[in-house]
Amino acid sequence: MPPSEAGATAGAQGAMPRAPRSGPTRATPVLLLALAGLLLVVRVTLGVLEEVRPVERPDRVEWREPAAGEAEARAADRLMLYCFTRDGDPVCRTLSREAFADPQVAGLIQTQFVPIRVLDLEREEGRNPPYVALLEQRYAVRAFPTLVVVHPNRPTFVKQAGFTGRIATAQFLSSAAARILVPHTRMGTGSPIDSAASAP
Amino acid sequence: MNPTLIVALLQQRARSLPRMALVFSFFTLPLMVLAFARGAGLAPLHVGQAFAVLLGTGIIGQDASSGTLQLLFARPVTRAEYVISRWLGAALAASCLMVAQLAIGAGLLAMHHEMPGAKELLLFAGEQLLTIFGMVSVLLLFSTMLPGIGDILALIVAGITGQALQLGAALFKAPWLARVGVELGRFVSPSLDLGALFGGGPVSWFEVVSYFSTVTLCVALAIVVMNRRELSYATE
Amino acid sequence: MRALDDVSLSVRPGEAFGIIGPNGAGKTTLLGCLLGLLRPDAGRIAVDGRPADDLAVRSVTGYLPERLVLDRWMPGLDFLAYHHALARLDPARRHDEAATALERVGLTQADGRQAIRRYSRGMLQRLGLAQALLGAPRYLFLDEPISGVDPAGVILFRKLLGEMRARGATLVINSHQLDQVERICDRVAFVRGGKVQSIETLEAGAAHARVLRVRWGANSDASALTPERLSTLGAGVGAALEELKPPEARFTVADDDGAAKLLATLLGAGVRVIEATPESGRLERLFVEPGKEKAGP
Repeated sequence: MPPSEAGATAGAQGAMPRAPRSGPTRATPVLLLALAGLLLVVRVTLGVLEEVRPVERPDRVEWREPAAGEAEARAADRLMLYCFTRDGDPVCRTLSREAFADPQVAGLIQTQFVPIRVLDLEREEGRNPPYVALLEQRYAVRAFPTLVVVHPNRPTFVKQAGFTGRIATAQFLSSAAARILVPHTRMGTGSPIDSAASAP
Repeated sequence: MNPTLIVALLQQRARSLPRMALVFSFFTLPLMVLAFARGAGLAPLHVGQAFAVLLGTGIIGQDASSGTLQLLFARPVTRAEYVISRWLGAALAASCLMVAQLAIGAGLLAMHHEMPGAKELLLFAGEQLLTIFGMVSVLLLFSTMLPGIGDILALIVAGITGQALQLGAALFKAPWLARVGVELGRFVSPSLDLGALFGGGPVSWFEVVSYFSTVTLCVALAIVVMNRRELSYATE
Repeated sequence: MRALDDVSLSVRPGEAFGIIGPNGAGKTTLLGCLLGLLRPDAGRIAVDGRPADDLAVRSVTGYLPERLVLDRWMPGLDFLAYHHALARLDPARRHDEAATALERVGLTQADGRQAIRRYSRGMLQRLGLAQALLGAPRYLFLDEPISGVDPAGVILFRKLLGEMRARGATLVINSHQLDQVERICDRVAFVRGGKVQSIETLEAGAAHARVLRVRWGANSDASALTPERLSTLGAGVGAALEELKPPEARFTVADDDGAAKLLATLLGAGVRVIEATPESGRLERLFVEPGKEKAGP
């Protein structure tokens, strides 16, 4: 198509566009892509480095041994939070680093529950101590980490396996507490894996 | 950024009854929990992600499926402008809801003499803002590739896959599988722990870079996908 | 299968250019390419020397799509204001120009306050044209512009397009309404199977063979109405007698000039011609494949 002549198009103008622009409508976002690429490279590099030398964050939760924790919860009529964990397990490490090291999550746990850590030793020693095996059997713990919320005087419990993120963990803890304390309460837990069952 | 497109998105969302009903629920129910429960702190208000999902689902896919993009792109609007405006519009709207809810929630906590400190409030708001922008960017990318509200299904599938990989890692004793699962979960639900960042402890630069990497990658790829999209009624 | 194959054409500034063809010919695909919504696998499309999807071209383009999928939740007036803003037109005049555009296409302000999902097919088409005309664009791409429009609307649309042409706008129209295309367009591309098979000029006097059906009155000179006499009269001006069924006959003429001479010759020979009509529109013949022409009624 030949370039338009000024005379031919002079009469075609109505209200002029405010700021005529030019350039393709499908321009590639070169700078943004470059930035994304650079960040991706740095991410992978830092990820590898952190795998080798993980950033340690102190666990802010004051964990009890099972016997002591259960006794405390029974006496104070408080909810118990069992954390079934394994030493060296990467997901357990992530849970500790990202959730239990978080002041808000740790604060929520300290306020709402008696936190009890149950350490699985089957891999290291071939078998667990009897009380650990009993607890794992009672709450059908098959993977680590597993969080179980239960009241010492009520049969129901709520559990979540794996790590779903710091925020989802906080949401699980809040809603699990509500479900145990108010049986008719049903709220979103943020996790598709939790289940409520009766203890044998 | 195109203010016309942002305003149109907000008007479109406001006219969707199901969306607004869900937004209302997620706005009021946590506040009711705060009003009647004690000791929960700000935990019930961790719903920024929900606002992001409710306002961001179908952010591009619905327009693409409805067939309105052909007429839109006959105007002097670049595809990048459209993508970024949709992203900003949804994220800003979700952010406003979060801030309003936080303000009311702080008031309720103050009535119970449980008012958090200014630093805690700021950190909470900052984390929620980052979570919102991150979640909307992930939905943006999925939405450019999937019709209608397929983006939310993709998000759910990706999230479940991440968790399944973590469980699989425990069952099959394969730590690398757990790492893949965690990274997938980190990708579909980007967030940043500002408490840890400003808490005086060691900083995980990997987590900081991961967040911004996810957001920039999602937005950049969304623009690329949109640029490559051919639009014509004849192709349908 | 190629939607478009080796298409090469040019549209002159200020021209009304039609695109016609059977279903599935590639007309909408061609329009999509001209608008920059589709990128061709090979070749180049330029509008005023710029790529078809350039922002500067978009700023002076109006588009009326065939499938009017508009933002159904918006009221009509808001929709026009939205597109006025997208076109980056003067915001100070937005409301007035949107209201004026609405009235120009025969919609009322009350219609403008209704959500688009309540609009009838004809109202949608009018609203679609209104948004295409916002800002008096230099280039107008119209895909089936009068589909679903009532006769009054068709007249209005023709008037509006005529006004745009008078302002020097260039029109590209894809339509199945051949009679409207003939009335509006200067040239027409016939597309079939993804290829441009021909480009027809529709100006008066253009060389265009057609069949002319001539009817005469009762008191015509009978001696002139024999097959031999009519054949001779026609041959004298380059027309061929195809069929004789009193009181009418069918002649093939080469062009407008030939048709005029035939009529003058018949009148001079005492045939009281009371009606002379082309048997089919100029463009209809393009749709009849060679060897499959059918006889007239």
